[in-house]
Amino acid sequence: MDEQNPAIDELPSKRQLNRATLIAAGVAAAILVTTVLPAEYGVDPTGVGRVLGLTPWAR
Amino acid sequence: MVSSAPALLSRDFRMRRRALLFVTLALAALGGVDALAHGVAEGDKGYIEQIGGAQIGAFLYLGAKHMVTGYDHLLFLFGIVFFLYRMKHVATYVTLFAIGHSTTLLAGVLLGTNVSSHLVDSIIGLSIVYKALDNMRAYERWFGVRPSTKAAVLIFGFFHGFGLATKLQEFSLSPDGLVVNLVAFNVGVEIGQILALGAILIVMGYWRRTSSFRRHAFTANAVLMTAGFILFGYQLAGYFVLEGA
Repeated sequence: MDEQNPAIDELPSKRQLNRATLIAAGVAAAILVTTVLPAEYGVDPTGVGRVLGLTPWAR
Repeated sequence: MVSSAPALLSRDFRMRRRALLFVTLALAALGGVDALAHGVAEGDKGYIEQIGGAQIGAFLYLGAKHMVTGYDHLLFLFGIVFFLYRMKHVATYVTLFAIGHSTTLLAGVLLGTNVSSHLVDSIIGLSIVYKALDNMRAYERWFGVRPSTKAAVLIFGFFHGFGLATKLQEFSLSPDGLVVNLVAFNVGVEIGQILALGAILIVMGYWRRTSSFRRHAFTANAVLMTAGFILFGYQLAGYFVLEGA
């Protein structure tokens, strides 16, 4: 994975990459919807932000 | 020889634990400055707007502070140097990044370009995603080619500079001494970048010495990509919620 150009079969497989990308996007979306958006903008579609005391009206 | 095996194992374990401690401390340091991150802090805002004329020291400091406390720039920098083992390569890439962001910082403020800071910051979030995937060599797997990393660093550098420019333009900067202050801010940004880079490279140096680095490199870049996605969503949502677009 470094600058020394390893052979293609030493690189992560397409399956590993797809899985990692999907997980990264999924975790990011979950964190955004449950904590960042409620805390930053008072947007709380799941209600988790209110439960965690993150929304302005919950404070 | 048999008796040395456990000793080796335990040394490896100790080293790994030490590396973990450094990474944790680095993350804690990043988390601790969270409140200051992004724009220029509120207290500084009043100060910037009050002063007229050339204030080299103040703008040097603000530029450096912005960089050292700006987690989006730091994450991108972290992504850039992740697999750069030689100082010569670090210098090349960091110079490209500096050329990129200086160009648009200076041009953006001097030409008074008016772009949404939320949109620019969401692209900065994507730049982190891009570099993480580049480190994971995803483009080779997906498209058969790895786009020039140097070009990518330069081009995303332009966006980081636009981000800096929009932050500075949120203040009613006095036209008196603007150019001097702007250049001072820019030089401050570079000083802050060198300081932050030093810290990142020290931590990376310890981390790379551990035998687990190669195994954890993939996961670390996946985490970096997650952070990039979060910044992207955070800024894009800000654009729609706060700018009512």
